[in-house]
Amino acid sequence: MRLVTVVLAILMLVSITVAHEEGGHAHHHEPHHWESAEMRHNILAQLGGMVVLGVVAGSYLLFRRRVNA
Amino acid sequence: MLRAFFALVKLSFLEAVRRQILHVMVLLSLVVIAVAGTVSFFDLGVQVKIVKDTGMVMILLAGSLSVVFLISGALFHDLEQRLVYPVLARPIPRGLYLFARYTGALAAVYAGMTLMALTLLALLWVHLHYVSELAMVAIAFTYLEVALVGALAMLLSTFFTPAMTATLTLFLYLLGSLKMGYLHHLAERNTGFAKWAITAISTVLPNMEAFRFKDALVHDLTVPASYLLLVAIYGICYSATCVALSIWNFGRREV
Repeated sequence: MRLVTVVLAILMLVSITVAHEEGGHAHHHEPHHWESAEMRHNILAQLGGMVVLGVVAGSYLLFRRRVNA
Repeated sequence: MLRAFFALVKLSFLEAVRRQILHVMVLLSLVVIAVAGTVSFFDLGVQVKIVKDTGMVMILLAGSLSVVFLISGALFHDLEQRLVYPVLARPIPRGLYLFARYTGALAAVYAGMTLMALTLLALLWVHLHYVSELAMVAIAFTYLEVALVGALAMLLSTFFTPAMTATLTLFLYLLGSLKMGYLHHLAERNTGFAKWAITAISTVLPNMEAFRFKDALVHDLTVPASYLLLVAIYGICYSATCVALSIWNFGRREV
């Protein structure tokens, strides 16, 4: 039952994706993603988040190794 | 250690290339690309656009679906069939085993995608007598997108069963594709908890749209090199984060 719900949700999302893509084609003035400042900002924000996560995880592992040693 | 890694990658690759799902996906895509390139209803300009469009969509669709179905069941199958125990009884870290499993399955999918990409490039060569650099770039970023989807499937497979992993990965993949175009507008239109929840989900979701340069290829547009570099770094970092998290979760799990 849960699987059916998820599959239905996916089908709904597919239809939205297709509709969105068609809508995008209709508006020629809409910038492509490589021209969008919002897209660059989003990518940079996520990259920053990953760097922070990496630094925190690395520090924790180093700390644990020192404690174990 | 490196020898063990390559031996595991080879085993994972051989197991993945024997799976019927990969054969069906590759054959179906090759037929669709070949039909789009050979059956001529339109003039040359439109025909080339259709070849590029269909080719890129089929490479991405077949690659993504294959990698999801191959990786989502790999770990569960190894644990159920007790294939993982003789491997982990040797001095091989769990992380290395998991990374080799991911790399082998991805290599099998890449082999299939390369066949499709070569067919697409050959058709473009037949129609235009040249192949643009952007075609190579667009195909390379499709490979990167498939690697990211595979890493996401690998991460989820350390938590869930294969059916749940495949469904969730495809769900997140679709949400990631809608992220900038739909979720951001949805967050702007909502208030309170709904806005907070949509923003939180949107922050963590991978930005799948960033890897797609099909429009640039079809309409012969230029993409700034700085943007390509940014997206490449983003794709590698996101995939590495997913693989690292899956190694962490598999490492602390009772096997």
